[in-house]
Amino acid sequence: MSLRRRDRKGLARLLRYTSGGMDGKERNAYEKDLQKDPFEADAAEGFSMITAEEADKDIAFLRRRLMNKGSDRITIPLLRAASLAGVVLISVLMYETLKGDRKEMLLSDNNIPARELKPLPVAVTEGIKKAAPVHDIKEASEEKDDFDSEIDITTTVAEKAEEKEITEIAVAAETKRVASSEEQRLSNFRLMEEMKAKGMDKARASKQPAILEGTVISVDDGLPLPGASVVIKGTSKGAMTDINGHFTIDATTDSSLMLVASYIGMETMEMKVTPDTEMLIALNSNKVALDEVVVVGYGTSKRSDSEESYDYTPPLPSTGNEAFKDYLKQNQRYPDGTEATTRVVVVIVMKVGVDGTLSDITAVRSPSKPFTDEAIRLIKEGPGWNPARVNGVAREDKVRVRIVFNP
Amino acid sequence: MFLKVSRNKKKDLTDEALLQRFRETGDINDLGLLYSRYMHLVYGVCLKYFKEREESRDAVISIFEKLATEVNNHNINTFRSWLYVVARNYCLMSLRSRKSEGEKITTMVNDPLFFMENSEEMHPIDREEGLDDQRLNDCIEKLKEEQRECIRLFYYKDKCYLEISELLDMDEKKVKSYLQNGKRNLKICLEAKNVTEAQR
Repeated sequence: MSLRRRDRKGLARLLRYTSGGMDGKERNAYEKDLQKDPFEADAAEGFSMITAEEADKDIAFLRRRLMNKGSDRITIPLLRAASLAGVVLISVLMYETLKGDRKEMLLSDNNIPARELKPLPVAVTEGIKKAAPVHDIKEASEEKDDFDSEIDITTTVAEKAEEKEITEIAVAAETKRVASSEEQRLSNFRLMEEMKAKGMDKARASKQPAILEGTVISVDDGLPLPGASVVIKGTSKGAMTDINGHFTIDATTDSSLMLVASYIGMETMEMKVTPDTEMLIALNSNKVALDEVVVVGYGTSKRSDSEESYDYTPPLPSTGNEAFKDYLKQNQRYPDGTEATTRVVVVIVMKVGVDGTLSDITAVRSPSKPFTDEAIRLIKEGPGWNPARVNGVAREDKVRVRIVFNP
Repeated sequence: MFLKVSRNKKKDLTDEALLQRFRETGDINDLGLLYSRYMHLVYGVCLKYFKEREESRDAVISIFEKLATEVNNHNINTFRSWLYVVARNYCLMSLRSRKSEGEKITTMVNDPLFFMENSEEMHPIDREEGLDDQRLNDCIEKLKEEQRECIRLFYYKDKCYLEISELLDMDEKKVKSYLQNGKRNLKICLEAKNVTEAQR
């Protein structure tokens, strides 16, 4: 993977700058370019922390890594799709097994009850959003002549998952169990094709099914999540998943309904109801949320009960107080028409939301409207705010900010 | 021979043409070639935020993996600036998630440059022919002393950050921050002038 000459030159110049190989004039010229290019300016700042040799070494290393990636036969989206196919396959199998159906059923081609023949729409959060539903994967694999047979895909899933440690969905363990016999694998795929074909017909034909069902799994390990809550958005109608992560909700459905699935320590996930289909909902783990759970004991704790455990921090500028004061000092301007001779104090009260958004910015003390406006401008254009925290949990709160204008 | 020719051609494609190719073919090599043009910049950005080599190297690879999926979800005008946003967001997000695991982020928070504006359009002072503009000079006059001095030394006397920091006896970081804030105030001042002129 060779670089264009100008990219090579750009890198050389950057490293010459950070390693101190330029004189003042040249530095200034480069710094002027950096002023126009925040990307390179950031990079220059980063590289100034390491030596030119270290930088060369690291870049060579990264280039090698990148080339290895590039030469993989399977492109990354396809790899993801393939691993997803694995998960879907597993869930089909798990579902069938859990339903108490006999194994022979899986192997038979025709005698499958119509109810079981549904496509599995898949909803997953963030990381694998792009992954296609089952039939798309099938098509994708047909386009790629790299795959000669269906068996190839399954083996690829198992091998790749092990080698590359794709963490979004770890299919390896289950896949091993499932993939013990080759015939079984073959028939599974045949089954999926069948399901695809018949399921789509069925979905088109049906109008108002009465039951919503599906399975909630964890993206991290592909295992079902028992006790997750699944609710129809905007209603109190819902269900908890059983020990196998399976849920059923009685409802007259139409496709405009949304399901909300949540589980402690996982990101909440919304998905559109797909009528008359088994839904597979995969939740991503949410490490942040888990950290924020603070166990105080039984009951709710009042401030008077446990004075010590009540830990309050007010809303603060995200830059820290000193930098914020500095910002105010640097950027304040006496409004037009006022004389910059006397010291002026404006006191602002505002609300800082849980996500740091500012609202209800009002001046409770100000000599005149222009100063109020200037103070509000300073706040609005200034750094972001961190919300107040009570025992580590973000809260909406009001805060007073004193802005001093010094001539 | 033929292979070599075609490869050379590919090498010289513009970013956007390469991106288009990747979208059409899904060939990860195309994206890899494109990424390799700016990989060192991405690595530098990661270093800036993580301040650590190993973590930054891992991040460069993760960002590439992210690109492979994200590229199809976005309408990208200029790949380079889009990549910058993706890289920076990646670093910030991973710092933020670390913060809630107990570590405090002090590094970026106290860095005044962290909030510098990255507007796409160029600042008037960065255009060389703009330096003699009378309105710009008026606005420079109105700046606070430190900001004015830094701007003068940097843009009119062609002094580098290091020299300015020695001349004015202040930290190099401070120099950058005065320049940044000075430029911001200049822009506000110039815009105000434009408005009043337009009203006339």
